[in-house]
Amino acid sequence: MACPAYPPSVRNEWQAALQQERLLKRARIPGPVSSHATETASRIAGKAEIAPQVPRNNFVDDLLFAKMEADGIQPAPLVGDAEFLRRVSLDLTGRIPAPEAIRAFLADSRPDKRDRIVDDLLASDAYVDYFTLYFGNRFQVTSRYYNYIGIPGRTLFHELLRDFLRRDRPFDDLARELIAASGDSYRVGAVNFIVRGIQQGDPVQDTWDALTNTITTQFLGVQTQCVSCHDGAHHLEPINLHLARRRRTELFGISAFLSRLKTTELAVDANNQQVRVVVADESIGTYHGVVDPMNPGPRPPRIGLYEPTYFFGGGKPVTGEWRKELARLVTRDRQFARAAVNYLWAHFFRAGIVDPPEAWDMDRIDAANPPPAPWPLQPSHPELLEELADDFIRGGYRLKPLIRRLVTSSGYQLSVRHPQGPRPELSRYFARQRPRRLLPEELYDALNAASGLEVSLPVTGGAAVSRAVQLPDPYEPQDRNVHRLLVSFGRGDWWRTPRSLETSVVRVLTLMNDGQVNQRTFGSSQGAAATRVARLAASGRPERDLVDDLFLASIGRAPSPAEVEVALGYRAGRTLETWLSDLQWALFNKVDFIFNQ
Amino acid sequence: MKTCASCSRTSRRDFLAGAGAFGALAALARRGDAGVRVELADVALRSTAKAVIFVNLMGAPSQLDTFDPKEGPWNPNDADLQPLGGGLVLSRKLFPQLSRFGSDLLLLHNVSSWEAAHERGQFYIQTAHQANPAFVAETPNIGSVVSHERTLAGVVGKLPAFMALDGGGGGGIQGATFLGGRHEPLDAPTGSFDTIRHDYFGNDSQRRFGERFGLLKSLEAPVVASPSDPLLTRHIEFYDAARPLMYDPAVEAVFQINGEERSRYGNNQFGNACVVARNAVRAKLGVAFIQITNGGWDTHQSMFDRSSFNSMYRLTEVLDRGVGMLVEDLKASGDLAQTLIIIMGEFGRTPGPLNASGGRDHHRDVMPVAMLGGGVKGGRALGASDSQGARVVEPGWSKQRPIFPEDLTATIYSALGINWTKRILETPTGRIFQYVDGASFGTYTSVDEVFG
Repeated sequence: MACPAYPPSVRNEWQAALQQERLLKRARIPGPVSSHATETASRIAGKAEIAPQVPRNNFVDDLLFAKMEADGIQPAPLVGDAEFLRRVSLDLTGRIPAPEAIRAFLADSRPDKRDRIVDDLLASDAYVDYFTLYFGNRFQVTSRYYNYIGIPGRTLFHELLRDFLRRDRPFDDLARELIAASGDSYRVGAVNFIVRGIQQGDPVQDTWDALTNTITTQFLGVQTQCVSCHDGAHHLEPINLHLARRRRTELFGISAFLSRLKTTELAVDANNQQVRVVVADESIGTYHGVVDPMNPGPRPPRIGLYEPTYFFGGGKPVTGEWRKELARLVTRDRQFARAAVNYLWAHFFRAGIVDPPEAWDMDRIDAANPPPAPWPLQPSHPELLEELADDFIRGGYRLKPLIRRLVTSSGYQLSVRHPQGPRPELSRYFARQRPRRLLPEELYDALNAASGLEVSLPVTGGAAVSRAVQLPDPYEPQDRNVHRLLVSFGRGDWWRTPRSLETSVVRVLTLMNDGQVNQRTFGSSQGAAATRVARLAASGRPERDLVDDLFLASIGRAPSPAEVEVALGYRAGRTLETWLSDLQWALFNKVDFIFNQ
Repeated sequence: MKTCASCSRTSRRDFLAGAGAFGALAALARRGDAGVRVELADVALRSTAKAVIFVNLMGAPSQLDTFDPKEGPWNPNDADLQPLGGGLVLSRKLFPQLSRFGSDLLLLHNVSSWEAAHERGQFYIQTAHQANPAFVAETPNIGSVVSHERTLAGVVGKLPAFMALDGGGGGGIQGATFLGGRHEPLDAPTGSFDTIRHDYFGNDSQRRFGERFGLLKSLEAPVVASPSDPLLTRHIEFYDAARPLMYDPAVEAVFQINGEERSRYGNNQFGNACVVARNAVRAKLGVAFIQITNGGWDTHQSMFDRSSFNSMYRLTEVLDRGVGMLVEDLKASGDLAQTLIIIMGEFGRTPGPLNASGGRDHHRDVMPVAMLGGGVKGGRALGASDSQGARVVEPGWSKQRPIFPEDLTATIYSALGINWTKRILETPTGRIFQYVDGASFGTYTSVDEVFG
């Protein structure tokens, strides 16, 4: 009888797998594919017969479609050009395309136009902006982390990320730089990665363990914090096979690489309590459990001394510079490459090949060594994952070639709309794309872009920026109204309040009624001369054109015939400006605007 | 330090499977929402309250200088401690309004906290769970659980059941997490709730809004008729949930504060929040749990220095007037009997004499809690702490231990008719969520003595 404290998720997962098999058998589509085709045969064949109109652009497609074919899954069709342009612009730059760009793209007759757009976007500053925000969301180095970091630390870290992306530096270089960072947090950006892990007021071991967890989570895709308090046994059996057999003392082993960390706090000035932190390393010492008896901290006591031992494979440091050694072990671990490609896959495909991307179960990833029944293999496409990892390593751990590979695949370009509907079992095949809600920064920027408004967002200690995706941390901008709007869209604060893209009553009321949103729907009679509504109303252009323009600018595509009918039908009995303003308002509240599909 | 309670215990209780009750709501089922399996124990629920108002004193107020005062040299000369009968003592200087409601007031002198750090403590009192980074993303606010339960019971009004009001100096509010966006708090600004209003067209606003909303619905109709993804339809559903809040005088009235009220409640943000809370309770539009946060209570220094912004004089003046008027008004409208008000922070402060800066530091073993209304039997104090306010010496209830915030949460659930032993057997990550950490196994329980 199972321990009543845990749900029988093991049995559930097994039953889900059986159910999936049954559904697949029913879903099998008769067609040109021979029902006797084996997985091997279809892989050898390369060009699968399922949906032959979907081209195989690279090995990502070969492997995705081979698996679909083997199991009789039909992929959704390729998404149209307009939808593709909006999707890839948002996923690469956080920006929606302008009507002129959409029209140009639609009119472009070159067969490789999608690849060209990808190259243009990857080469743009907007890519640097957006992926700086992406990594900002992952490392969460915020100026308000306790009284540490501050504006100088945050700004330097932000610049480090920007530089990493602008030069397409190797990701393993960045990881080593962060893990082994030393110096003054107000002078060296990378040091703030370490400072962000300091557990103020808690025993020093909590800082070591917290940094270890950040490192294993961000760079290896494995959250080790569970075993920082207790053994995996009797806790993690239904959750993670690998961690269930690991011990807390083994976590101390990897955390020991951090145990020579030396942090010195220096007051920034006499009046405020802000400190900057100088990070260095002692030359002696190891992981121990000695704490101040008046402040033992929230975790169970740690007994004994622990020498550094790498958690995944037992590697030891070869020099006394333990953080550098950890950096070496982490970045040379194949899992580093796997985790990196999987995180990026999750961004573009809305779910990782291993999902969630911070929950790798290292006992369930080897297809040659499958886990005991009823556990399924964790990666949905183990071979693809390994090839992507190899490709990433061969490419010098640079992001751009990897991203290009993902985004130029047909798999990325499938429609959200599947002929059989949004059936959950299709997800594991990536047989259709999935929508994602726009980030708060993307949403705010899209409101401005659609309406054609330029804004200037003041940033503490730096130049003002024109887009929310360029803001260096969630305490910016220094414009309270914009800040409030971003927070209401679910921005979080990189610390206590997580980012949330959930819909709620308050969020919807904001989208419908907030002043800043509505100002972007005003025309000249309401005091706005520069909005798209105002300009269109004054343009004298045919009304059908105006509808097209609004749709293109807001949701990145032309209206469907039904939408044209509704839009033109709404014109009757209203002034031109009222009509356009209402249409703009409706478009801002339409799912096509709020979601990236 | 609390060990992981789920791991070390096996339950020998008989559990009633509550699964059957949720079948009808399968239509609302989504990740983690109604329709998942639960277990609960057979316990008696008091069901004396329709609404709870949780006044969250962020920063952790001092027990000796609020609800557990004692004679001692640390009191300022003007403290004027007055017995109000039944073991109740209050400083008439600091709490003139609440002193008038002695017969309604229950002061708990037997409460301890497990936490001594602010963020952990706040998470703890907002969720009845220990702050654990592994589970934060799946630990909803008590208010969200109340909202979830109200939805399950079919008791749903125009307003979301969970309302969060910022009474000044407040901090983060834990959200609904896996229970879903439907149970997020209505984070209503107490200045004016602008976003329920679409008034860009003067007197014509309602008509104009109605038309553009209709246009939106027409344009979304194809998505609704043939959804490509459930995420989109779920989002659209919220528009239908939000629409009724607009142009409804009853809803608007909840968020309106006139000059007389503003001034009577103290002319400050906390007082305004109390007015809105009163209105929400009276309006009976479905609000069942209101959290009002009020900050500044982390009084490490200058507690009785009138020139200090966060002196006890200013803090209690704001608190006493706001809550005092709230109680007075709810009594007048007959709503107090069904509205449970609980006032507390995340832990207590150091006992005996003040520290070298004229303040008090963090202290877990005794923390101040006041309760009124909603079935609470007032006119008395429960339990007792020692003469310095350092330890609980008389538990004052059926268990031989202090009361913890987990027990208080169970009490609140009981008052609302919610089974506090319930646990959801499958969160999205496959874990168990107990409504009150440890209550499924009987470690913590509703404090029936609160009700008399």
